[in-house]
Amino acid sequence: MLWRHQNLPVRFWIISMMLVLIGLSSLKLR
Amino acid sequence: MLLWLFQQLGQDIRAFNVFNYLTLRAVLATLTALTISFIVGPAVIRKLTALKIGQSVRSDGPQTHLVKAGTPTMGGALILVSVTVTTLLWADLSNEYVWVALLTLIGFGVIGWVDDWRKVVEKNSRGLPSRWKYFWQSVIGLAVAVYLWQTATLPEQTALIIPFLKYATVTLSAVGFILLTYFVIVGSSNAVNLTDGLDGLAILPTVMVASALAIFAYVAGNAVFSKYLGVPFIPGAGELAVFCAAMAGAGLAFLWFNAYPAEVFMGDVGALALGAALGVVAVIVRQEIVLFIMCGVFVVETLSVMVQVASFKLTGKRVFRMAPIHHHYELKGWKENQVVVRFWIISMMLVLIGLSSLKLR
Repeated sequence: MLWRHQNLPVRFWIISMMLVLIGLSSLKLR
Repeated sequence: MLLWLFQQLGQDIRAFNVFNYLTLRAVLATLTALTISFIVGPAVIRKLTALKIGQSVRSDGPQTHLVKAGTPTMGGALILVSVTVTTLLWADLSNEYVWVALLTLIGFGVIGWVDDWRKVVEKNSRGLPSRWKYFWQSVIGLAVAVYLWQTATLPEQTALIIPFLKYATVTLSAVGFILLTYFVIVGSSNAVNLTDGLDGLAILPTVMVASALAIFAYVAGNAVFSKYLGVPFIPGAGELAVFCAAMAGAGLAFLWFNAYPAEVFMGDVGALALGAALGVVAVIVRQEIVLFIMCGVFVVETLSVMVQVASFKLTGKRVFRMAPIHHHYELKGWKENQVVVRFWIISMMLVLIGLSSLKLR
């Protein structure tokens, strides 16, 4: 039961936060 | 470990020298800790559930929490394993600060582990008696304080820095430094533990504070940036950015499983260890006051318990409907999720205020 609809918002935020971190890392990683 | 390996390889193949960069290793540490926790997490939760390591829910707490009974606890062990493995992989292991932080994390984790184990496995509701808990916390806290005092070679390593004021430092005596360090480490450890009462409430502020401390550690360990921003230069403190980044990554992955409705709780093993780790990093990078600001949610949670107990003992009246303060808001009618997300927002604002002290002085 790893995907219950109630914890989807937080999980989407976490994915979003990871994508933002990857985006920010492009500042340094080039 | 990998740094050493890549340095050896870098002598022949220059491309490997890129791993000498702290920022790259910090980013990789976050990703490694995230990956480890995501991969191991479901197995750990299944194992904890199979072993019936279920949280006992306080019978005098909000009625809505009774459904949480049986949710596996001690998930903090997952965070500790993830942070430890990641730090051993990506940090410079010849750096003493890395070991101080790692041993503090593990030491407080062991105290929490014993407490949790006695409560949920041996069904001893008292767990580790609180005087023994404080005794062992004090032993580790004082040992770290004495070690940091003994090994300090520069005056900045033991002075109290006042944020938002330029060149404002208070020189501390040996007793002053050791007492302050002790209170910061033991205090933050217990504060995170008190806050850990709603799904996700303790972990995300911990992730945010750890991320901010990673920036402070990076700046403090960099001669140019520290001079430019007017913060004390602490040689070697930069490696703590890797440790903090690992905590942020492992914490974020833990939130995945701890988000409402939680599949696992961190337990004392996670809360005590993470709190102490934040404390020790703040002490090493000389940002105790900034930590106090950024950990405002933890501080207020702790104060609410102290005020409640003191008021009840002195006047027989309660100030809050229930302490810690997150239960007060729940009883006022806020949904659990509302309390959690609102406390996260407050925490984020406080972390931004803390970070602004880097430039505003």
